[in-house]
Amino acid sequence: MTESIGGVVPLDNMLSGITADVIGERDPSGETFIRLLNAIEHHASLEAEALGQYEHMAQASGDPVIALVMRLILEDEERHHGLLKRISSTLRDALNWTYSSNALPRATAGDVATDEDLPALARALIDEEKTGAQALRRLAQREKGLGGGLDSLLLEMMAMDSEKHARLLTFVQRRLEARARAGKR
Amino acid sequence: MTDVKPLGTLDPWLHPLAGGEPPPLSNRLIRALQAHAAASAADVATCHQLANRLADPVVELLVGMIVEDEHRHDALLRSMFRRLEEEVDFVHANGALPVPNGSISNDVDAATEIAASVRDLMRNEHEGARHLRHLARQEPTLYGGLYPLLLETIARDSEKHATILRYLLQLVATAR
Repeated sequence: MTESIGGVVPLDNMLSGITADVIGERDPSGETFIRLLNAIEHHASLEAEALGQYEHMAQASGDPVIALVMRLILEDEERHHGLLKRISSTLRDALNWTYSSNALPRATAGDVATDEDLPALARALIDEEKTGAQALRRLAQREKGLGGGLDSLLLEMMAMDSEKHARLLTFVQRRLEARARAGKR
Repeated sequence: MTDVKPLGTLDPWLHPLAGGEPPPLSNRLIRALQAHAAASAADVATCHQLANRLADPVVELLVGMIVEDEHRHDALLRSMFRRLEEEVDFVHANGALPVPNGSISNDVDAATEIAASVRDLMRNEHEGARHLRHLARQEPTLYGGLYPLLLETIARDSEKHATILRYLLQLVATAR
């Protein structure tokens, strides 16, 4: 059923309760969402403050290495800010029964069939990311003195990102496996 | 037959400023970085392939985050190559990675102030990561686990930032 009320929310969402479909348990008062929304918005405001500090340090230091390093952090922080905004929009939508265009996609259980080789592809990517992280870390250790330590730092940073990617891909792999199982049923 | 000596490897004549020591350039490093860049490019292609074959907005979001990081890594690796090539060719290359050259303020008060700011930022990053992990633990199943995953991702980036800031603190401490 995809009929909407007031053009803002699918009817089946309303009928199933605010949160039952997303947290797997009934929470008619939406307390979980309000608490989480407040916490996320608080965190987003702290990150916004940090953005200003990083920007100031990048400009005020007059040092190209500090400027580079600050820019790397700033880029991440800006992405975090965007992501946190999308998370809070989604939570607000769930509370207010509205629809925001920047809300995150719904992570409903995979019920659409998927190619059987895709989970294996995801697994291969996970292995690749893990191996890459190890290689980068070894390189970072070996070349510690190069470029005043900056190269080593950047390689370590990339290794940390690769580990993060492996984590994201593990989620993707599980989702693909669930879809493959659904396809067999 | 004429043997061609590889340029810029261990010949001190080619690196008079290195004082006879092997030059800082590491061909091994260049090769390793190039191999990593090539492997990453292949992964990006596979990620695109994965996202294209699925009509799944969640997978698209997550794979998009990875691809974005990989593009940034690629840009960084290119700056690193350019800096290493500069050392071989003695020619300034645009977009080469800067090198710490002691240009951070020698003014003790200014350096102390910068160090204090960096320490504050490090503490905030650690606290932020802890806070996000706490939130993620509170709601482990929210949106099929997508939210805790995203919060964990941000927490990991915050820890990465703390590592970067620790390096800056060392730079400032050396300058003092």
